[in-house]
Amino acid sequence: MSTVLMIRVHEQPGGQLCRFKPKLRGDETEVRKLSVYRELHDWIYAEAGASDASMEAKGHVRGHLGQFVRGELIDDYYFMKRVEDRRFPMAMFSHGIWAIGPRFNPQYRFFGAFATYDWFVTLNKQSRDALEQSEACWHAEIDTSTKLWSDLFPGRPVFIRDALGDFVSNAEKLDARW
Amino acid sequence: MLVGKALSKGDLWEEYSINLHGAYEAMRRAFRQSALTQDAVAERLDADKSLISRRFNGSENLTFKTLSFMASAMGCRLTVLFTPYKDVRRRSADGVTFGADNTAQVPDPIGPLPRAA
Repeated sequence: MSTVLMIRVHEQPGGQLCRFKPKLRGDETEVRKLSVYRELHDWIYAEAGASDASMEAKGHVRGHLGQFVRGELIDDYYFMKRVEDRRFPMAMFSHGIWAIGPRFNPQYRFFGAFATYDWFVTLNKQSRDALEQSEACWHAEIDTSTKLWSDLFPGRPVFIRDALGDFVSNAEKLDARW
Repeated sequence: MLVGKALSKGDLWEEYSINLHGAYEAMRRAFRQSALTQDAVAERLDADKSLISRRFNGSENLTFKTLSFMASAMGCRLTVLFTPYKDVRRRSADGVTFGADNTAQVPDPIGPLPRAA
């Protein structure tokens, strides 16, 4: 079964993934697809009892993730980045995990991987403050993403290509590391 | 017709994020088209380069004054548009918008008529 077909199964009611569907205006359409781990999706949309600061942060997250779905310009520096795994210096990106980074405080990083061209699966999040503490925190998130991916898609590798434009449409390469 | 129903705070912040992203994109596009360096922008504003860098990477909060100063440094006039939701057009990398049939709305190659003397 292909990864995409497995996503569709997971996106059924009660499944482990939800399709992220931002409010689309005018002629905006779902140009790219973004699937989100259900627990994370619930967090993004939960507003009951949330503080003003929390609602602001979540609004920014939804706005940021929505850009991906709307097909807006995506770069590999400001919008999302390949996560370096410095435990393996010769294979820094063999895990294929990316971090989407809304740049508003409090900042979070959303980890996940591409299932195929223009289709990203967001699996886990961590606050930027926590990640700042040490490289081990980044590695822990890579491991969490990899584990969740394996559980969701047994035997199916993440989608890895060399050039940014092979991952995502309307892309601008800014990250000089790759 | 719009009616007087309270918008949720979450929706307001989401739209704020989208609008802010549009402002960042416009600023970065103007920067690319200006062929200036960040050093040059910093010099024009008599500001520290790290501040300019933070503005471009989105980690510095943008105020209207900041946008205006950045526009001036890049030789641009700032224009603000209030676009009804129904008229929102999908943005592309170079700022070209798309029409309802998904065809790019490119500028008129002849350009506007000259202004009367």
